[in-house]
Amino acid sequence: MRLIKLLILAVSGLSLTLTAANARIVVDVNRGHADPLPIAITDLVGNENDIVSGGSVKSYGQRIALVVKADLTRSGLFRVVDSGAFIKSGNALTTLRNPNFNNWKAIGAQALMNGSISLQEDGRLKVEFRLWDVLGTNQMTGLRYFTSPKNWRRIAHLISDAIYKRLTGESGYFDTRVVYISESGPATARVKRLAIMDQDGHNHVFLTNGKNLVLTPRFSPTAQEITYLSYFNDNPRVYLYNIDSGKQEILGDFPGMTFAPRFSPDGNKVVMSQAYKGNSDIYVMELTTRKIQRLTKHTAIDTSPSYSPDSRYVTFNSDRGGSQQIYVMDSNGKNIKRISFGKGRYSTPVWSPRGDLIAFTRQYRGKFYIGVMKPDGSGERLLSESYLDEGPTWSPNGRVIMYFRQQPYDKQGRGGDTQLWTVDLTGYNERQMITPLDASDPAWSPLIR
Amino acid sequence: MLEKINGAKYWALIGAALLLSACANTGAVQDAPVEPVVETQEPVVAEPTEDVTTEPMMDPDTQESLDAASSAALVYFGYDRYDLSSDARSGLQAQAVWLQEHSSVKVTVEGHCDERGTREYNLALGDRRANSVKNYLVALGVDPSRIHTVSYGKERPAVTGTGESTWSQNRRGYTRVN
Amino acid sequence: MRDAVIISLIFHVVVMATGMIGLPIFIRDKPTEMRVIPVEMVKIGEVTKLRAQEKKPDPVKKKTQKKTPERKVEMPPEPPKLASSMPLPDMKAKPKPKKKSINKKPAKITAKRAPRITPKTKPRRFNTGKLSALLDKREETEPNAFEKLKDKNYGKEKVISTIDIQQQTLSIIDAVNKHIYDNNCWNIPAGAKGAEGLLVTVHIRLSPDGELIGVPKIADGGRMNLPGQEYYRTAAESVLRAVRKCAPYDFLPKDQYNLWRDMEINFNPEYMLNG
Repeated sequence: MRLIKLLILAVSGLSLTLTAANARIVVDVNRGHADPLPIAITDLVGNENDIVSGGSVKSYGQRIALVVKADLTRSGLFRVVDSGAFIKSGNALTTLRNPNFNNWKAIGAQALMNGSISLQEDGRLKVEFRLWDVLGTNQMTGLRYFTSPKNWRRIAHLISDAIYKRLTGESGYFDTRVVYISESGPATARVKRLAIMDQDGHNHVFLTNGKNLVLTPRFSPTAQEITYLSYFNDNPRVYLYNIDSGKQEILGDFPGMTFAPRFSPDGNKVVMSQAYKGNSDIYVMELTTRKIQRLTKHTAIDTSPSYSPDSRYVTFNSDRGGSQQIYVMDSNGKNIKRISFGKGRYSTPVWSPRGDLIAFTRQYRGKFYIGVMKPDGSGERLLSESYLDEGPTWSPNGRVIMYFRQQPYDKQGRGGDTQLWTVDLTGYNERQMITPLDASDPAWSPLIR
Repeated sequence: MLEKINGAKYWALIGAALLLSACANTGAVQDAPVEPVVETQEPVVAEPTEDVTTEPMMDPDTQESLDAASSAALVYFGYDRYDLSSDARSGLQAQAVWLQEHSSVKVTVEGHCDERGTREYNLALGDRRANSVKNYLVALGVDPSRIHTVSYGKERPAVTGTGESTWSQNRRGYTRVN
Repeated sequence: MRDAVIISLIFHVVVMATGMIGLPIFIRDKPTEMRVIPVEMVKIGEVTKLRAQEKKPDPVKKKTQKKTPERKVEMPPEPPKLASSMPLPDMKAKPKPKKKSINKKPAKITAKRAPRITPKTKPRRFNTGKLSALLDKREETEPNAFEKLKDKNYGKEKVISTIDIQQQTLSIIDAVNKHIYDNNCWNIPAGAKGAEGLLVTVHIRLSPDGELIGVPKIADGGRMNLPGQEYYRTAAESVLRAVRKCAPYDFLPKDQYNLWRDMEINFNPEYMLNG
């Protein structure tokens, strides 16, 4: 009996050899690359002989393609295939709906954007584009826009947003603006002005003349208003600025300095700090009723408040524990909890619009870092490091962080340059923004509607 | 009333000091008998009487006067600190004396920080520093309504540069005559 | 002599019998075994590490237990490479979550795969387990020198044959993995929210030349078009691009076509993301 069992065992071993051949192979891939996706962007096909103000329709098609290329490249998630490598095949118009995928595959493109632009009878431009999956040989999306020629940049950004959204699964952030502080002059007598620009640095406009020191502008959720700090009459107070009307007004009648303002996600409130008799606490003001509620009451410095996107919490920094650290409280000021416990000082917490992270500035051993952590304080990651990095602001899709960086001075006293930078949430793709003058305190607008 | 009397005594003292120094000066001139430019000083010497003539010379309710009286109207702070060192206190004592003598003067105490902190925190820290200064002056008898405070955070450094020697000069409280 | 003949007879009969009864068991059982192995994500060249498998036949239970810790040991060296290439001075925290995720992973996979496998497999798989367990016990309880000897011999035979297939399978798995990695086929949708849940399984069928036949099938394809699943769609599309970009798979040994004609590839960005 024993013997037989043994034999069975032996035989079954043999049988394995014969039969396993029919097994299906399972491959587990968990290594990949985080390379940008190669995408080909063709000029929008347009008529050279149709002239509108600013050039031919064809030239608008080229300019739009250029802006789309720049947007996608800057995101770091795409690599725009050099148009010099394009393989010409057939009539440009007929291939719009029927691209030669093999040609695009041959030059390494995995996605393709093509489209057309034409002049309508009403003087507006009709802009169409299609996004193709080169390897899967199918159309992924296609959209059509009508606009007056002067809005061509916005159309380009909208196309970029559509491509970005279709290929990454998250909404884009190209049709957005940035408000920031433009700086000039020596540090000891710095001139600071409110300025606004498109996310790619174009359409730059100064909003104030530099007579009064202004700081820390922040967008309302409609992107129509800005709240900021002005030293008007040498009285630092929080102001409201309406972009359309240019109207400015002081917020509230506080005895002490008000600063560090930020809108609530619904735009109905502004949360800010008041420094009074040497103590800074956090207050929130309802904009319609101007009713003020005090959120913190502590001898420590409580400042830099920022709402969670669901309005349920406010994160802020405080030195109540001895050194500057990040705290989260209910939006009524209850249940204050410290969330940062690393070495050094933590400050300027800003809640991601996606809700999953809080960005912050950290100081440690003479360096400044921009980092992110989960709202419970776990999962801290540092994304940038320099002599002085400060003041993160989120792209509206929660994917990119903008901040400013100041260079140190050398022995000859040169330096101190201050510029805006962006970095991807992964820590890759750190880039400097180009601004006319030095720049600080950026605030990214929500998506413009 | 007390203040006035004090003021009078003060001026008398100053007048006497001036007389003395004038004498010393002429003495020095005699030692090196080259310049006969003594004439301008003579009228001053000639009027040693109480306050009338000395006041216009000494009076200035100016920043320069305060600066001269109190180590440039400045006090310095440690990194991320707002407590007053003994140096700072003695400087403020001199400021208090000057303020009591210049009783019509109102001042603004500016709180400043170095650039090694984030902007908003530094605004709050500057406010703490300005109020440290104010509170001490008030404790020395200066009427609080004469002292306004303002924080400039790290927005108005006194000197530019990188390193502790620069930063320590920027962490300051400055008493500005309005 | 007589005994020998009898033994031989019995032997033959048993061979036939098990051939009929036992075969199906192993046909179905095998894949689950193979599946467990590649999870280790060996670098190519580590095929020789089969040492671990050689011990396999004796303590079946122990082996499965051992393996999980082994994975833990082997995995961590990889992610830090990514980490070091990122300008994150503060990566110390990373290893912890990673270990967690590694622990999670096998569970996730078995859970996800189980439904895909024909229901029959499950019970059968347990059968073998029980069988070998029983055998083990016998050996322990009845330490007969003769049996032991025989057992060893048979055991060896069995081991070698198993290894042969496993080795072939492993090298195919490794080759595909390496091919996908070396040719930059898979671009991970980095930074996506909730990347942990973005494991994507794709089924591909290959021609003998290694070309894709038909459209690669995403196992959970329906999810791609659900609202709110844009991240999953993005991940799935990155996988589709990867398997297409990597075609043809003409490096695979033609004589083993039946092994790789149908493949299931699991793309898991978890180790690369978030951490």
